[in-house]
Amino acid sequence: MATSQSLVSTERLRPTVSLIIVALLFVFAPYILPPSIAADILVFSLFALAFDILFGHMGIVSFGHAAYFGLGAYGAALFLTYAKLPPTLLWLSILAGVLLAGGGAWVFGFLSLRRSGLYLALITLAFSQMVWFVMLKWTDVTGGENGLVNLPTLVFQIPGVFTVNMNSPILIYYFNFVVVFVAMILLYRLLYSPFGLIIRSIRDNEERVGFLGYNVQRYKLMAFIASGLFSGLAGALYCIYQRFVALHTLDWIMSGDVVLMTLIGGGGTYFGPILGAAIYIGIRDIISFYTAWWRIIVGVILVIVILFFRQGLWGMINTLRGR
Amino acid sequence: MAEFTLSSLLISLLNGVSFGMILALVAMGLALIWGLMEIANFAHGNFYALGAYFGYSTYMMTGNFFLALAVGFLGVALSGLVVEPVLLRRMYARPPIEGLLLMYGVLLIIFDLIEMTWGSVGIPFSIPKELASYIDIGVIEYPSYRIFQIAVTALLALGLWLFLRGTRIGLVIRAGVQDRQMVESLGVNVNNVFTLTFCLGVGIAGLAGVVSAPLFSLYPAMGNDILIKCFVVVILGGIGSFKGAVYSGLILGMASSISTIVWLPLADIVIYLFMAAFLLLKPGGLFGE
Repeated sequence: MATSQSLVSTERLRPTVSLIIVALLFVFAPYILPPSIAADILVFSLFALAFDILFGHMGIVSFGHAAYFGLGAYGAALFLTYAKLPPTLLWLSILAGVLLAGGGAWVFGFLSLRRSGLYLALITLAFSQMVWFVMLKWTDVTGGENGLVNLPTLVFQIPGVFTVNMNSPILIYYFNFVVVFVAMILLYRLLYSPFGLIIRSIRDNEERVGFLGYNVQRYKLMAFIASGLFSGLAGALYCIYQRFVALHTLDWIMSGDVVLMTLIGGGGTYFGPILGAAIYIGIRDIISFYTAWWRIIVGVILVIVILFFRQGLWGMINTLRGR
Repeated sequence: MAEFTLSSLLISLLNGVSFGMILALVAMGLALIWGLMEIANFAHGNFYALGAYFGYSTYMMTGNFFLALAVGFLGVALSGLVVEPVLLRRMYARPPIEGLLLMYGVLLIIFDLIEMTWGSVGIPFSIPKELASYIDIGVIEYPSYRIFQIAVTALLALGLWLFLRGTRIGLVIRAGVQDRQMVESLGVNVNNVFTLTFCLGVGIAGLAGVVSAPLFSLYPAMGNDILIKCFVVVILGGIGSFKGAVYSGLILGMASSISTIVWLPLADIVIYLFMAAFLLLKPGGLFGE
């Protein structure tokens, strides 16, 4: 073994190297995979990472995370539809989506964090269904079952220097890539900061963290809001890429999907959710190419993962590497 | 939108009881399974749907609605006999949330099995001929099928209550909800009790599915739609609480039904507003600890 000095520096370098590898994979993904799948993997990696703040790191299961993904998507779409702004300012729609999702997470998090465990999972689910019903029934504004379609494209401009009209899927993909990558770095900084340490301690022993003088409830709510904000960002980017938003973004199948992705990849491991999102979307896409019965196969995979591979793929890789 | 009169209010109240009893019946099994085994049975709604489809096929083949009720109950209870010993039993030693995720997998499987067998399009289930009339109950005329349904669900609830109160197995189940380990250490074979409770719980959901099929017709997602409402019932009523499931089922059924007079879209949302209000004011639920 080398000196402890160099050991520390390789330990520090490893996540940076891994992040760069992830970034490179995403840069080339649209040329390796069908572009629409690459775009889905990109957005859902972020969604799964955001979900994992609560699931893997803080140890609480929200079964209603579609609410924040969907609020992000609807926030962006409503802004694009109703804000009377010049095209160069339409990027603000992403901010609108993020803020709407963050606000939703604040309210729902405040209420559902009064309970824990199974109760919390079901309460979050119920709240996400409430949002679903509101978007379904408020037809005049949200388009009801049809959703909001034909959304305008974003335009980026520095006057006199350049103007880019985001009208091609590949342009939007790379725009989304930049945003997602910045968000991933932010999430990494957040999860491996003192804040991240505290929420992992809450997972391991909530009572003891309280005894140490931390306001556990407040940290939980902060983590919930952070998770909601990043989920909302993922939703907003999904809307920007799809150029429409529909009820499936709020469906509880979506909430289940993100649990599955995180579970398959391995919760609490940072790279696990990204891997899980890629595998899940890949599997679902391959299956649905051959058969309409993808649910039954996904269900069987879920049962097997829960019964035998609870730590997920990345967790297994870590175990095999002896860490 | 219905005109607001005394008779429309009365009809809403009765519809509330009718829907509330179905909610209560499905939620009872959910609450029992949750209380005894610490499993949030995510697939519970799909057992309800499965029962409805079993009942539909039986009714189509024989034309006998009572046979359909029996097959709905027995068919689903038997499928529980596969799920509990094979899959669920492995989850009792694990954190409860993993049981929930496992049952989510089972939900997806049952959902697709229903679509494979009966198709993805909704199927109307007409009210059995003998019950397709209206009964004059003084002030208004009310569909006799609804009265039949209220009676059947009420009898079932009563029967279940007597079973839990009056029999030895019921005693063991209630004791298990209180303290599972204690019952185990007294020498009771808990595994058998768990299997029985699971089969009974999902079987009753299956029966509730058959009873409600003529009211709401059949579609593959019918289980998902009722599931979340029943979870709210259990959250309000308190885990393992039989009484809580009945009361909060009725309260939510009525609230949902009466709110249709006020403003139609409210009916779908009022249940969640109730839940939010309870979490703020009484987080433990009606009969919670």
